Amino acid sequence: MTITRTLLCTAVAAALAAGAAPQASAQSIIAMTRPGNFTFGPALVAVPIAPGVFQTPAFFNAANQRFIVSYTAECAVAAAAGNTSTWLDLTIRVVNLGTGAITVLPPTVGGADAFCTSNGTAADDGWVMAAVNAVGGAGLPAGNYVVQVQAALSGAGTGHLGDTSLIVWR
Amino acid sequence: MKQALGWIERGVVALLSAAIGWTLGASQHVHPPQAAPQPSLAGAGVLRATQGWSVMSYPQPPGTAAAPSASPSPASVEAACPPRATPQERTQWLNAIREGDESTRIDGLLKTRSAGVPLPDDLLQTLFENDASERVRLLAFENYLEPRSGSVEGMRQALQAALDIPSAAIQADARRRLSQLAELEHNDAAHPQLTQ
Repeated sequence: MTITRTLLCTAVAAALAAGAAPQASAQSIIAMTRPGNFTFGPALVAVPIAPGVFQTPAFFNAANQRFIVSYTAECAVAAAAGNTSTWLDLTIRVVNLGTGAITVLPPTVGGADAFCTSNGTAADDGWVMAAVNAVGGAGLPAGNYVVQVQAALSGAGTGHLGDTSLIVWR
Repeated sequence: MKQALGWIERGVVALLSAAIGWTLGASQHVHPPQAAPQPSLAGAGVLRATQGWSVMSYPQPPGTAAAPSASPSPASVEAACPPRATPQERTQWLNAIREGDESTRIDGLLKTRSAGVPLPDDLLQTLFENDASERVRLLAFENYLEPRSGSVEGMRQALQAALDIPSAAIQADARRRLSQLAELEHNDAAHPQLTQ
């Protein structure tokens, strides 16, 4: 009796343990890196994501299918000495190749999302490796898309984005 | 004697537990063939897959999806994840890219990209060097360049080699990219990252 009860409990426990480990996984669709540095003034510019490349290869996305754009870059902002509030605003957007519609992916919408900020010295220093995960897909129709990255400064100064990576995954 | 029986009982329980656990766990890892995401306007298969409970699924408007349960079943979590391409699907896509008409070849290139399936270099090279369709050549070329993105020299070599390909579209694309690459190198050299 004891053996039967023990066996039963053990079987149930084993079944629960086996069922509690679902196989969930992500897959990368695009992976690009860029060595070297890219320097720009305060105005909005297109940011290279690879040597000589300013947008990703095209990929298909079903209607409302979520995808994530992970972008990392070594970042610095040089502004006037004492200025600790000029930031580099990054914009990650997708272009629907069929319609030409452009969608900026949150949280990079608007100009108030600082990727990195001036550190109070006028020199090109204070480098950090910054990152953002932009989320896309909700509300987008099925189609072929490319990803582009843009950057601007919130004030006078010089922005730097170097040694970057861009991964599109779902 | 009683103590020996106790040890035997524990041993039997341990063996049976291991067998049951292994069997159940193994059965979970066997996936039936799944339909690949279809690059059609409907996209119904993928939409259906995102309606289950998962941290990766979109919030659904009330009434359009089952309410999240307190303890989601493994099946519902798995359904919310993107389906992986099966070997059969990969073979089908490769055949479509090699043998299909223009739209089928483009479709195949985009499907493999969307499924995260890398294409072999020699296939991409054959396509962007010889394909009859300019759209296929350019799509294959940008796919070919992607894994070379991490190296300026690797990218430059690929672009320079493309200048010899008898395709006006590929040559123009390679020239444009080489020009942009030179501009970026100039930009980088003008603002070196100094150490103290």
